[in-house]
Amino acid sequence: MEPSLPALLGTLIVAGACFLACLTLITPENLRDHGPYFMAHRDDQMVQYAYELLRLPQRATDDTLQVLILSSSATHEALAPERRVNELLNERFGRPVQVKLLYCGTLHHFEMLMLADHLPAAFRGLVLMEVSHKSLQHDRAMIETMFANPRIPLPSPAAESVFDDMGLAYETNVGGNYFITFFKSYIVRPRAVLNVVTGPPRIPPHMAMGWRPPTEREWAGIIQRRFDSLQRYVDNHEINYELYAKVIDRLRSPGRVEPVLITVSRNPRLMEAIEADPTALSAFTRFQTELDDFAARMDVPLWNPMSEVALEPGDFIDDSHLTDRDAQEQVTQRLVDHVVAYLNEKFPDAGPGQTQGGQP
Amino acid sequence: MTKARLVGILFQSFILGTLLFIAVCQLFAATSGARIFRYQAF
Repeated sequence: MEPSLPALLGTLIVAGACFLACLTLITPENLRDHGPYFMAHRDDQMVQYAYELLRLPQRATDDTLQVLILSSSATHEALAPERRVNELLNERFGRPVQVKLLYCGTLHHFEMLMLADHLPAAFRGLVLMEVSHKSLQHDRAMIETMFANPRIPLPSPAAESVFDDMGLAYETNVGGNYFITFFKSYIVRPRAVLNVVTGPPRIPPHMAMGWRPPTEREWAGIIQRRFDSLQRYVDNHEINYELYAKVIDRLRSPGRVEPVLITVSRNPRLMEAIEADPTALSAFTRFQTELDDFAARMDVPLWNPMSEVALEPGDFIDDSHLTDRDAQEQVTQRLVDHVVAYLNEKFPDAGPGQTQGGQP
Repeated sequence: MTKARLVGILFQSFILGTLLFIAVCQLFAATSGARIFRYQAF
């Protein structure tokens, strides 16, 4: 059998055509308009977070107050589905208000900053940001490494500007083309090509309900990892609080954007383990005190609706994720109580067609 | 060139071209692409 020059040329042409297709089809516009098609599976939260951010300007079409909840899966799983949160909030508030849950596993502070790049000019309302000891545990080198290898396939001038302010190192995006810049995010998602045939994945409101509870051995590992992250919090919290402060400063615009911090409660079983370990307990107590101080210093409310509900170990599937529907409903009710009170305080006369404080 | 040979060349080009594209991308992504997922959860 002899080598075939036409076959070799054909191979190169097809490979070139694939590259050209990626250059022209994998674009922020297509990600915004056909986001679910880019997801590798139904729990591909990184792509979901990216296209939900890109869609935000399309959602703000009038002066309706909005509430954005930026969180990890812990808060997302603790709340009722987005439709129910909207329903409850509109019912209690009495004026139109739109809620959007934006989440991604262990959402980092610099990923929250991406919101500043996509926040609609017409946005008025609250931005709730989850904060936990897990989101305050990374050292400078880890933050730089994570930012250099972005999970969320979106450029973020706001995050780069904050990194500049804080002297954090990052590589400037060299590719003018979106696919070339973020090809690493897409090349690890070859499964997404099949969405063209099978249709995009259907995203359920909650993921954790389908999970298997950890075995006893896995529990031991979870508890040890939480102890480790508490220790990392003690070692590294300063730079992370500084980043959260930058996020709040970038987003805050009185009468237009009011930032709020929310935190979560963990499974009582994990809390028992923490209380039984003096080092972990000391770190956790320190985290709670310092988080309270930080919120006071930044003049933002700090809410923990989960702490206002009597949660049992059986309400969780693991250490962090609430799966009991009644518990989710109660947590949602407590959160809505806070949101309604704060909206009334900050936007007392707001309604369709009105603006506050002369802000655009 | 016979019709069978033409079909063979096209089929081979399509399969090998696609695989070549994926292989080159994986090569570029190999060092850091996997890190994207490594930091998803702690």
